[in-house]
Amino acid sequence: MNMLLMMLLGTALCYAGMAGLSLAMPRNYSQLNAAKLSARNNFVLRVASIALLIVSLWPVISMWGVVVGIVIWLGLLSVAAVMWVSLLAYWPRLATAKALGLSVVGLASCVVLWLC
Amino acid sequence: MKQATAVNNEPGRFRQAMAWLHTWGGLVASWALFAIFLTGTIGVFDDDITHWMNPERAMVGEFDPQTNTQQQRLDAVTKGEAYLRDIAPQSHLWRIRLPSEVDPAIGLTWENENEQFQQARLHPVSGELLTQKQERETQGGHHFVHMHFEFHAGTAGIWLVGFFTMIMLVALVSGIIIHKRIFKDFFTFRPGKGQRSWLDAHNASSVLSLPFQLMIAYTGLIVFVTVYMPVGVIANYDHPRTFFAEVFNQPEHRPETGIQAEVYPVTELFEKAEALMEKPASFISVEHPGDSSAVAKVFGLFEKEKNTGRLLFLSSGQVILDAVTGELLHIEAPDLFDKSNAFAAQRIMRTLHFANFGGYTVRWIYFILGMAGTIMMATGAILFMVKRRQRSLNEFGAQTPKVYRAIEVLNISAISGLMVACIAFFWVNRLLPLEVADRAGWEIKLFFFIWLGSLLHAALRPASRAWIEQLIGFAVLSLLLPIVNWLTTGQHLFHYFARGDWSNVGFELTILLFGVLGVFTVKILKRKQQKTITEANRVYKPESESA
Repeated sequence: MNMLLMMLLGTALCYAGMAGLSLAMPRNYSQLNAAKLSARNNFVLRVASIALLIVSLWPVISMWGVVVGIVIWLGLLSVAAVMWVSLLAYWPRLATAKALGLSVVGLASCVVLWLC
Repeated sequence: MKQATAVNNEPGRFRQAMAWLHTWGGLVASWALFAIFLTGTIGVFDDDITHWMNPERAMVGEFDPQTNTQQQRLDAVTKGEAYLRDIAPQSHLWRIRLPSEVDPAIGLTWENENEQFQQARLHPVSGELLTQKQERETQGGHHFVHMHFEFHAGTAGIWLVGFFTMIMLVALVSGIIIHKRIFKDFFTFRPGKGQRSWLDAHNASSVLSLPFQLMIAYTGLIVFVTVYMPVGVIANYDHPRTFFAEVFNQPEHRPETGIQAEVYPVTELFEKAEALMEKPASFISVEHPGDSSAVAKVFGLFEKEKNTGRLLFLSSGQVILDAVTGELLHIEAPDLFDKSNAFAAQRIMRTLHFANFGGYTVRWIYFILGMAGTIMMATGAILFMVKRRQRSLNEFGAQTPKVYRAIEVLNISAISGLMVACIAFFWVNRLLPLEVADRAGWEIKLFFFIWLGSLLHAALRPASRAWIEQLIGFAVLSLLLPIVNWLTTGQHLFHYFARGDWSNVGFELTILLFGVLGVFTVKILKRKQQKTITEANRVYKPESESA
């Protein structure tokens, strides 16, 4: 149970982080939005995504320890990116909504778990 | 001015050379690499597959790790010992594996007079030999693992796989060099755009999973480092066994003396070893029993919890005893790692490659990224032909169409043909009568026959038809597999749910998912073909239907 939860949490945050990094690129951004990506949005997206990816280290490391945790995290980054790219190609809005939802749920769960 | 262009051309020419290497090296290796990757990816779940392929095993009884008492273990060894003493009093090797969570039976292995390995399995309680009627003889998930690292061809196969793995590393590095927009196209996949989409899929599947692909190829070579790079051992040691004794920090293997000697009671050796390690053991082997050089090795039980969070596994404990006198020769204390750093590095890479750390989380990550690698191989091979189908590049002069046709046929049977053969392997497991002699061997033979059949089929049919027909075969075989299972064994998904057998639930759901993906692929291909046919008709009028 605990392991499954931490794995899902790690995947969710990695997915949101990878989605953010992708949307910070003009081509991917335009797939979603007619407006051009402003420099400010680009900056905000990058910082937020990197923050999400750093936070995603926490569930995996607290579950599997530093050594195995980092290996799993590297794997999850790839898995999350593959998931994002396949969703973005067919359902860009759904993919983005999922990223937003997962980042909120993911961060909230991290806070709850941290406090408990 | 002239010099400037020459300098400017240098990187361009380098990139072109790399593109040539990537295209042709990749194509030639892609068929074998697709097989290595697909079977390796499936092999991640070898234990779960073995479990599904042994539907009768659950009836043999269940092993409860909580009630693993010493008396039970000693009884099991006594039963194994009695059987081995009877069937192979003079042998090179006896092995007794105790019941475990993976397998509730007592597993016996020995070498017969012709130095061939024989196996038998005993009921854990009655000690009776389990016959083929009670328990199907199957290769299980090991089939995929053996395909993955040796094509079922022994040392020659290991070398072949190593050779292709080297090409894979070359293809990965040359692929990175020729990919000009690696960062700009990082998250790019544009479906429905023909050649463009194939290239996108090839790039995305490899770039996004690149760390995994590099790791898995390199660690794969390191697993067999002493096979691939034997010269260091040959140059520095009189015999490889001296080298291995040093690496494993153990006494050297004792050669046979030819002097007859009674084997010390194995059960007593086992009991003694457990007392020395102060922990339960799970496995005992006796090297040349019946000879005065006989040696017994007792291995401690692997404790998962002690190794959670580790890539370098601690010793489970091992005791080596003289199997004639019962005297202690060597003890490796449990919960330590007392070997060289180089060996530790090799072990860590082995663990990384085998995915036997981090439980199901890691296995699923490896499965998904392994599939990404498999897609990388398939899209690469297909892209080669997609590019040339539109406009021949005439690499082989007048022979070009023939060479293209051969490549297309090989693509079809290497990709969709192997997929069909892998699913059909599970059908064979269920449909092959239980009493067939060498049943496990026949499973593998039929796997290869079916694969060969796909090659024949691809050679006889037009390419576009062959792809669709084989993929339909794959989808149908996948979707019907749970029904075949139900008809032949009476077991089905709901039954597995009710029993809480999540391993089998996962197996059948995954197979069904692949069946559904197969159906979608066929639909897309058919729609595309319809489109090309109508377009062709519009432009050229009826005759050019083979487009």
